[in-house]
Amino acid sequence: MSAPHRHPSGGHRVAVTGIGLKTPAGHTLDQVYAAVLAGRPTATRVERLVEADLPVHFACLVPEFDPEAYLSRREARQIDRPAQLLLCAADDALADAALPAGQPRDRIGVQIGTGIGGLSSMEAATAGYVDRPRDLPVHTVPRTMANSPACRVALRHGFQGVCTTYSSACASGGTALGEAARRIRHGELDVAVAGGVDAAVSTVVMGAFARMRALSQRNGQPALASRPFDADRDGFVMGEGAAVLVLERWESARARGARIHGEIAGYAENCDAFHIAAPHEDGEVAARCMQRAVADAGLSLADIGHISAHGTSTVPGDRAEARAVDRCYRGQSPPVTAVKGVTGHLIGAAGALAAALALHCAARGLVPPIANLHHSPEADLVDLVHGTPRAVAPAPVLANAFGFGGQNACLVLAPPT
Amino acid sequence: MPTREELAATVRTVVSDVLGADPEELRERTSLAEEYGIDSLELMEVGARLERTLRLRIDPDDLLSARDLGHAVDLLHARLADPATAAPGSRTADAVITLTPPAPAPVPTPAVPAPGGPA
Repeated sequence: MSAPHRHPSGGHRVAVTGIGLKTPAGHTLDQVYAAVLAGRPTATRVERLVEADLPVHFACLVPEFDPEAYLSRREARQIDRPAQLLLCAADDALADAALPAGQPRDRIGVQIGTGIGGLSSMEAATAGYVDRPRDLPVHTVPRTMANSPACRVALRHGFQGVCTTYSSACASGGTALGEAARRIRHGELDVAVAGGVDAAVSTVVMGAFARMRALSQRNGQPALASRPFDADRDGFVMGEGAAVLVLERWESARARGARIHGEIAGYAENCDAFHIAAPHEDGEVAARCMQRAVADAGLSLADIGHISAHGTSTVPGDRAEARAVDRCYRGQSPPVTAVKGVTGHLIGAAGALAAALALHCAARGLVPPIANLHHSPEADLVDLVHGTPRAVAPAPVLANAFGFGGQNACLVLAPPT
Repeated sequence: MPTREELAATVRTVVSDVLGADPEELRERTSLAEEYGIDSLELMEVGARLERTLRLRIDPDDLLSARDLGHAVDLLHARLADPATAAPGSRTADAVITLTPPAPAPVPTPAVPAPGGPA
């Protein structure tokens, strides 16, 4: 057994001391947790999508909130929606963490994942100014660049440690948390503000995903559209939002008496190198990623209490993931949940949101049911939680985030010990 | 040709829109540099919007060098009244000219003495 303040790798253990969320299922961890436990879907019809003549008429949007509680009007005018959502979620996470004053600013970094970045803002700029480029707003570049949300967080709080924006498509949020944890583990940072963001419910982005037939077109019943692992699934549901976690050295968090949500204990990432969008159907590479994340945490597969699946509600994705889990567990899968049935797919924020919920669920020993799941062709491979929450002993969670390009990012999140 | 009062109202509206300030907060003696810390991009956005509204080429130096809002209005008013006083190369009505960024324009603190260039 290693020293309590040391990770099995010999580096620092990484505590999560703050969580901030701006998601379709709510603006606080408690709200989102309640919605996920209740299996209450958030997808709704969006009139502007109908008016734009898109084949998909619905999405999961962040409920309205007052950004002026967080941002000056001046700031708000210079940033796009992804940056706005991220800044607000980061503020909530930092308030939750209550870092002591005097923490060296150059030891605090920002590590953010985004799949789509400022593309939908550039889409709006293109639509408005393609015929008169000389009139483009002066702030177009700083508003739309992919690293704008992360750098805005650094700028707002004066965090001068490494500020990185990761783009691994739908795995970006998992990548950012894992990389942030490594930077703390290896001593590069004392604190990381880490997570993911995307807000791309726009005509071109939605239209483009729809052209791949990646999106559900259940326009008559949006609430039933996101149904990970269910036999009647027909694609994912686009969501928007931001999820931010404050990570710090375990021993520092303990020493200052911080409330610890849990630990980022393990992380691994690899690439299918098979197809630019489809996962490899045998799940072999994804399975290796899961095994490596568990090994990185110094655990064995049997130590995992439940799995928070990427589970997007697409047939190829869910099937490949179920096969990957089965490759690891050979018919002995721990309970598997997938929060996207409730939240929709937050793209770059998805992995970070799933991680935040996984920690909360692990500590409480409750695995949320997969919303809209009734019959699954994968039920013989994995133990899918449906209907009501499943009680389990508090134990580490394996959280998967997979993305186009064959990106696999797996995290192991442990409840506070 | 707008009166000075009309011009002042236009400038206040544009500046308040860019800075997210209430137009009433902005007075003749308001220094955008000292009181609002206006940055170079915001200043260029103000200039670009005024160019569109007034159909006047605006020399960014005019905005950079103004010690307060009233001074900026005076400079613009003079340009409108007599384009000949405008900066070299400037044109009025129907001009289609981009507002080229000045050499890196640090936010002047304290207010830049008029009518020099960027501090």
